[in-house]
Amino acid sequence: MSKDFTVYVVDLSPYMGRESKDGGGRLTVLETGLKAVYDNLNGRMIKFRASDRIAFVLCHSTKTDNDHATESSLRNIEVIGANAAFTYSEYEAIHSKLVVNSNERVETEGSIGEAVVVAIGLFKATEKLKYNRNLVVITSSDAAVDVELPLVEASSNAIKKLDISLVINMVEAAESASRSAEWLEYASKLGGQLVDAALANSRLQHAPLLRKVKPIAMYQGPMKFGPDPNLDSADPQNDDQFTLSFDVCVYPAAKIESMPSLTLYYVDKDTGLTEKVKYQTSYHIRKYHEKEVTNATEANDYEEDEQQAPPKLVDEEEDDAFERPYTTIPVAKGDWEEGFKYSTYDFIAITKPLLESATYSTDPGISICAFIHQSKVPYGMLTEASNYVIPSRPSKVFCSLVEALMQEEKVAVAQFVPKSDDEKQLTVLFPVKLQTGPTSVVYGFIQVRLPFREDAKMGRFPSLTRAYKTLGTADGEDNPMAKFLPNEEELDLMKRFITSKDLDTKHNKVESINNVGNSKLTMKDTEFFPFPKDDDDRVNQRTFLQSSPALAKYTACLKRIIGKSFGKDYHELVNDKEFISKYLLNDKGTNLYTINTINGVNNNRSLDQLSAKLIEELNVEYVKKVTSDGSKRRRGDNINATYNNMVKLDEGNFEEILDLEDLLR
Amino acid sequence: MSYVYESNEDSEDTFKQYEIREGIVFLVDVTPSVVVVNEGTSQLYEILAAINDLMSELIITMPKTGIGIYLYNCTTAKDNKVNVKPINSVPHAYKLFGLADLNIHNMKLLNDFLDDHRNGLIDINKAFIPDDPSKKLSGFDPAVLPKLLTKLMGELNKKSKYNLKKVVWFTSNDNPLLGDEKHKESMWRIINDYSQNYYYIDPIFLDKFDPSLGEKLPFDMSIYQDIFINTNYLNNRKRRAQVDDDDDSDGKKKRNDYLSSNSRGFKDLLYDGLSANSNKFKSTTITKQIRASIFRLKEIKRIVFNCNLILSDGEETGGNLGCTVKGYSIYNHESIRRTKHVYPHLEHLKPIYLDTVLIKESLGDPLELPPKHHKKSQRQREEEASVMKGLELPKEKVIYFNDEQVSFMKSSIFDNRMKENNTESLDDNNDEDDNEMKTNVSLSYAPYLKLLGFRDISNFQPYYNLVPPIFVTADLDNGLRSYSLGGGYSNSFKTFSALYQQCLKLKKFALVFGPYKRNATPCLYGMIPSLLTFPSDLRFPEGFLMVRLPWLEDVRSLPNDYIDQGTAYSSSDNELVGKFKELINHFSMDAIEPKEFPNPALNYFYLIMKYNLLQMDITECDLTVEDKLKEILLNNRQLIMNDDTILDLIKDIKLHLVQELNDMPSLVPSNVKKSKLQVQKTFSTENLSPDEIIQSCFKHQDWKQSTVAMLKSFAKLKSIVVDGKTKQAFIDAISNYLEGGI
Repeated sequence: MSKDFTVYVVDLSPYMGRESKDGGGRLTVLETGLKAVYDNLNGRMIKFRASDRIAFVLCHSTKTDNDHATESSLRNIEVIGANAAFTYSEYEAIHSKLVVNSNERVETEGSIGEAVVVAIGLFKATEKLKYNRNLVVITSSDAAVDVELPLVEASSNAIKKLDISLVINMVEAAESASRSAEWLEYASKLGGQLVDAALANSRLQHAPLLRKVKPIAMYQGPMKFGPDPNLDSADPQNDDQFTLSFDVCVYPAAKIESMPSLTLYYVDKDTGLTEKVKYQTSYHIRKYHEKEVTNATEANDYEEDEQQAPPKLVDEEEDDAFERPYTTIPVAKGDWEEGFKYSTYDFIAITKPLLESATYSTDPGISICAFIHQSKVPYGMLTEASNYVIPSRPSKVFCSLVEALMQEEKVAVAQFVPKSDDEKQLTVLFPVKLQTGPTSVVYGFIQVRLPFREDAKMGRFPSLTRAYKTLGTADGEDNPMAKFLPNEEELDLMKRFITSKDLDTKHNKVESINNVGNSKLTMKDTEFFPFPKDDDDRVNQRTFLQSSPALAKYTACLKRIIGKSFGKDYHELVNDKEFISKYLLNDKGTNLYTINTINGVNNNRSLDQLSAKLIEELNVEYVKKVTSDGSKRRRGDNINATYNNMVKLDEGNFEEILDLEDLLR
Repeated sequence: MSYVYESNEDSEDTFKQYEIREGIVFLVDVTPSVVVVNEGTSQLYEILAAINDLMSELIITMPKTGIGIYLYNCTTAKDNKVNVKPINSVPHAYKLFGLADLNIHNMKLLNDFLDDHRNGLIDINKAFIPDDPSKKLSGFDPAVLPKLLTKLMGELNKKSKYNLKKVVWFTSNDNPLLGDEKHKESMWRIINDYSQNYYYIDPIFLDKFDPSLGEKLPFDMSIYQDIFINTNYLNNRKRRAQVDDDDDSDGKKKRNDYLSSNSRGFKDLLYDGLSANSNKFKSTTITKQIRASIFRLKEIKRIVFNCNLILSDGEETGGNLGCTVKGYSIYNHESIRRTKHVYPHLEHLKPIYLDTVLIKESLGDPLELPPKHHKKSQRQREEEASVMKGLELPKEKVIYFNDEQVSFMKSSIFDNRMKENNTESLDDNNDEDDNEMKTNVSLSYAPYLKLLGFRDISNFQPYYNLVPPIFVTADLDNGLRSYSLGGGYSNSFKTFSALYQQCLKLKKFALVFGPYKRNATPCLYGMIPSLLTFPSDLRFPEGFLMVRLPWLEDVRSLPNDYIDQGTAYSSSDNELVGKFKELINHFSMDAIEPKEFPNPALNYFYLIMKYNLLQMDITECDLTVEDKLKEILLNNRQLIMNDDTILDLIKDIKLHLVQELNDMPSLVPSNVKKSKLQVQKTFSTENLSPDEIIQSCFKHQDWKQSTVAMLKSFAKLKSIVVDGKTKQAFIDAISNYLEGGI
């Protein structure tokens, strides 16, 4: 992952203090514009990278501090940051500086356009270093660009040369002089993006920043058809006239993104001073005391069984260990061997030679075994995270194989060994066209692992349709649930219910099962603003791909608290009895998933009636469990209580992050 | 790998209690037919060989299963080389080994027995002399069977660690009691007792042969039908079915009350019993099917979640339409994971136990937690000792939260506006009370699943898979037995069945959303009717397969080179496509069945461990394991070599591949790492000092030949401040420095 260098040019002129058009009368132009900046910076606080650089160029500041200023020009342009990692204390300092300077502008002062030139100068100083360069300008539609044409041209050239991505975050003031056209022209001359801050803020709320994870190949080498399985398939020497070999790379296609993790701290209750704590582990073995024979007659009765039980090779902690007293003997760390528990009774120490001899030797590679119709691969058998299998270099032959499979509606079944002596994987290779642009695609495969015999954990389940069981027992045996199968009328009602909750509309049909495309697939760098791209609309609505609302809520809470912690005693803040409602709650409410968001999609009068009818016909009722003593509280009940209180604070109007409307557009 | 006792408060142990631990007793009636050799094998050999294989498989998947093997109605031959033990107070009955957890000792016993038979050292079919029920003088005693079953019952009672106990009973005797009414009565009583205790008896009736002629004789089921059907063995199920009818008396709405009689919860579902229509009573099992009937025993269920599936929404209905469901894991990859640390210096291997204490990182002071308490989790005690969860911001600024605040940030609640009812009012017929009890609940707490809508199955793209699917079926307890739920929907089975049937018919899958466990993060799932995706010949159970759909964050990007290269990766050739199509059709497969593909690595590991435990010399052992993938590849190769049309196709395509390689060797994208041999030195660093190397690296902007140690000492020497510890951080800082200097 390459490093970021972001420079924010922030306009602090008096007009930034006006009321913003989309702020609902509560936010100033500057506050609206800075929302995205703070979101980005808060995110950087949570996922800190020491190699990233942040700098601010303040326009109409109270101070002049830049390399290019003279007595008569570029006054009141202040540069902050740039040379060190951006820390919390610097953030706190800059935060206090980002306020409107209500003094009138003076003649010698630098304009926004000139501040951009100063910012580009900062990038130029690091020209030779590898950075993703972002230049973000926060200004208002009231502001004038006010810069000479030669400087615009120079800026444009420098932006191209240094590969700077420029975003002008423009806030519409309530009563605007509206110089948007002027800014649009300027942005296009510089090859930048002019963004409406209100739109940007709403996008940020719905879809948090996406991060590109650098793709690292998990396998590079041949994919073969017709190889001799007794020979090392990675060795090109073993390619004979009977074998086809394609050079491929395997990259992860999907991995579960986890939430930022929290660590444990000891907090001094009085001072609020924190200190990191950790778990320290010590090791011991147990020496059990002699077992007492409690009941002689009983022991005698089952004497033969005792004889039958094989001797335990190792003292076990389970079953009888609860009752048996023991003393512990400490063991030094590392003074042990790996043991393998073969069965309850059988233990074996695994030495290195034993482990080596017990490894089933394999050679890395993908070997295609057979082809099967796509419909014969049950989706239920796809077990692990998917991979992309793509050619190492453009290859007509490889593309032709993929194309042939797509035309035949078939998929390949292959053996996959990522590294030498890894266990063999049974995989399926789906032929796909990976959409990399509006017109360009990469032909490849998506590989998913299938289960082996030992992996199947089947069970017996009652049939849902017939009066006898389906699996495990022979047909003809009674299904104990047969009495409760729905009748024709109930089935018909359910059918109407299903059809009226249909999410498929004409325009979100999957055009071709083999096309795969989304904005994340083609993401080149971590984005500053998650704006929809031109090709987004075409693909997203079909796949229901969107950002995780839980991840969004969690990070939004963390970000919010960082933003509110400046200049305050955190210990006092966090111990506020109303911390949650004061600081974690968004002013719009608590819930991420609400009846309103769902209703947006499929609420209508007839569906409501249909549901009511189904409830009646099927005799459905929500029955609340009552514990016997009425006092047993489940874990989490107190949280529920908190929530109920929260909701009382603000009913009805909820945060709509799960935006189905967006998805179905 | 080792056992680490993590204090992970996210782990949900609620369902642990449901893990099934089976104890299976195999009971073999040694009749003259059982030892008749037919087509090279006997029923007895087939039974024992199948049990042997079952044990080898269970040791990998379910090592805590108990197995015991009993034989009765026979005596051992005089030259008894078989290691079997007579059973106290039951004559003519033996056990190979009693009911005990799977272990190498018992496995070896059975395996040796079969090996000796195969090697001709003993003959299994002659090792036991069957008592012949048709000849009264042979010592056949009809009292053996009831005595043995009573004895077994005592043994099963004792093994409380198994929560599901089964007796698999093989017999080919259709007149085991010789018509003795007294024995029949005691059999009734015994079978009744078994059913009372939920011990499942699975009789397998074997083909009956004339021992001298080897001809199949008719099997009369009547005595078994009499024993099983005229006892309470079936009544549990009957009772359940009757409740529905009884309830409908006063025109009042039927309430689905099988719940109240269904007192044993999950056991009932597992406990199949027998019915009058059972195929078991229609025909006998032929020798070849013995294996299949034994292997069906390993079917197991692993519950993953239990939650409410909320179907409706809307201002008026709210979330009142729904059903309670259960999710089961059906596939998860078995790996060699039962390793832990052991202490090797004593006579026996001793497991190593861990103690963990919380200490302050800087001083190493242990923190004192409040004393252990059964109502307090480890985390709760930590919180009381002022240990909070926090995040360090750069640098040295810590923000922290108490558990309630963390729970708030992680929780996900759905607003449903549900009407709910208390279970107490179930028995209460007073309508006024009923109404009072009903309150509007507007929120559902995790766990829940919420229906968003339905989509056509043709719109399902399976490509971004993340985790194995979960099999979802109705909760027969309507959620009232779950620890994790505050309540559930009545008539869940019916609602779920209707949903399943119509989704299947309309070829739709349901899109649902939610956290299915209290601590789970909410996700989108596609719920596909199982028979819509599993071919019907696989005989997959009916229910929904819940497939997790990815969030945008979970999707990974392609390397930039592929995104930049436009159409370079998408040009195909029609002639080649035609050739591939032809080739593809030569290597077609009809279905993939996991059961045909054992995991060779796993089986090989267990095989070696077994030999080691038995202290056998590995060089003399048979080390082959079934490797189906290798078999297929070998077959393919044979096919290519022997079929000229296929070989010509391969040769043609190969020509193109070679051509391609010659034509564009230069287009290797930069993301593909060159192998070590391919890396060419851009400049020579021989005879240079570390300082000079770094200068040289900077000049060529190629840092491959610099080492971190070199960079570090250079930075130290020139007092360059470096942010970070990576090589790149050093390179950046040094570049900065040198840039200024040049």
